[in-house]
Amino acid sequence: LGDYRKEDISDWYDEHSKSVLGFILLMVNNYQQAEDLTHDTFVKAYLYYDSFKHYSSEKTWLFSIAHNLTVDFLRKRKPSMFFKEVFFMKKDHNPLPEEVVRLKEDSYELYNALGKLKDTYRKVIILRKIKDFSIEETAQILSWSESKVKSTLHRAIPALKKQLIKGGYLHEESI
Amino acid sequence: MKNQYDETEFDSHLKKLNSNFLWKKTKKQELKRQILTEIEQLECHDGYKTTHLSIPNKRVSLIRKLAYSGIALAVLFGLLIGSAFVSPTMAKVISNIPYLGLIFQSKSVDTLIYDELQEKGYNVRTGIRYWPEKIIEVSIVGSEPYYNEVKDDVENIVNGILESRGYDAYSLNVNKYTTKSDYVLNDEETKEKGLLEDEVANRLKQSNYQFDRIQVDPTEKTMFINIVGSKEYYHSIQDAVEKTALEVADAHKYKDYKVNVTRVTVEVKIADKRTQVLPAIAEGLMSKKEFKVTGVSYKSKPFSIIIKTSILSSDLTAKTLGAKIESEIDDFLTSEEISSILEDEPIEVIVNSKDNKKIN
Repeated sequence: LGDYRKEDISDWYDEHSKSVLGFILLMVNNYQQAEDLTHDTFVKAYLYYDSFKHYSSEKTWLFSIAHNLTVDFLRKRKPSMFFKEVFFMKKDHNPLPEEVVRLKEDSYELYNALGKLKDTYRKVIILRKIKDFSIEETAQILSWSESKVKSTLHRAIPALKKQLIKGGYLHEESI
Repeated sequence: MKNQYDETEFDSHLKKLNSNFLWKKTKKQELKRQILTEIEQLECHDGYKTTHLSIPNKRVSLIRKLAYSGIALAVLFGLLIGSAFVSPTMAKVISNIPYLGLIFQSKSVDTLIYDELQEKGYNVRTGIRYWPEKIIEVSIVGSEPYYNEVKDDVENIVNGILESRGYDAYSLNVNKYTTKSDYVLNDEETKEKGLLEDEVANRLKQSNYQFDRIQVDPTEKTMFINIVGSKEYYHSIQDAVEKTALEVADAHKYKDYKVNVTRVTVEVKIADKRTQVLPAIAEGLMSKKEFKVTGVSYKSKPFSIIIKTSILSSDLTAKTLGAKIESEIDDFLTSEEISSILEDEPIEVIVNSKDNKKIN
């Protein structure tokens, strides 16, 4: 009975897991958490397979599951993060474990700058510009209206550029 | 053009982040295996939808725990206080606050009714009467149809409040509010009033009588004159003042005037702090049939609280009732909260029967 489901999930995993992991990793900045959340995304996709209505592509559906799980995770993590920051007087940096995941050097600055943006800006940039989802798909994943996607992206891009300038990676002339 | 070029360059830079991201193949396969094993386990499991996912922070955080227990505590506290209102006996058992003490701490019942109805959007006037009957009166402001529409709701709300306090001595009277506007004098009457007041004042001044107020009511044909001075002085000039006033009325052909000469002094007394406890005692005792209390009064020297009841001294239970009322008041007066207000000043409690005999 569950075989076709399992097969689908297996295929989807082969095709999209890297992209999903990348999205979550950019959101949570911690590889181990990202891996756990990716695991949960596919398990959840299996559990709620019946509610997948094929209105959208399976990729969009997987991303919306991943997004919801990530948002829940971030929401719950916030208080403890706050205390950590207060007590240790610094942000918690989780360098990527080089043995499993790697980012080519010319994208490092972007990765760091994205990590400093606020969540809404970060996710809209990741989905629209990095993962190349359409406005409609992005709206579906985030459960936003299309106009909210547009306007948030409109504000997010300058914020990202500002962050890059702050880090010295981008020169003002080049904007 | 340059700008557009830069935009696309920036975009492609962003897009590159996706392809620049490398994930070790073996790790990817390992995770896949984990997921598929979990799925297989779920398949064997019947109610698999309830299975928990492996998200590590499904655990309830400390802050949440604290918040939940805080809410639970607040609810518990609310229940405690709430049940104390429902049953005075309960109040005694759980918190040692005497029945009258609870009333002392809360709003008076008519304010409570007023506030509650006002909050629910009913525009009302409320009043409480102890004599000749114990009546709570609620007047609804608004049109006749509105009154008919909400009358029952208002009645239910008020009955609910009375019930929650255990007050059974009142009959409830819900009626439609009618404005009782003051009678406005017509021009002629205004003229009559002004003329007489001025003229009488002048005449009294000429005769050197000491007074502070003259008021003429042309509708009742009465002149009110208040004399200032000792009792003896008042008695000595009372008739002369009346005569003078009547002469003025006669002179202007205003017939049938009466004169009311008074000597009223208003003395401002600083309220005794002990009187603070009276409203609670009065409300608590008057509102319940079991106490049979018809009146609460006090004397200041020595401070005593006098309770009048409707029981006859010949009644066999009179003494018991007297003792019950006295102990109810004593519990209240000796409670921590009240004794700090009274500062240990002695208060005598007198409970009288209908035929004015002390029954305690």
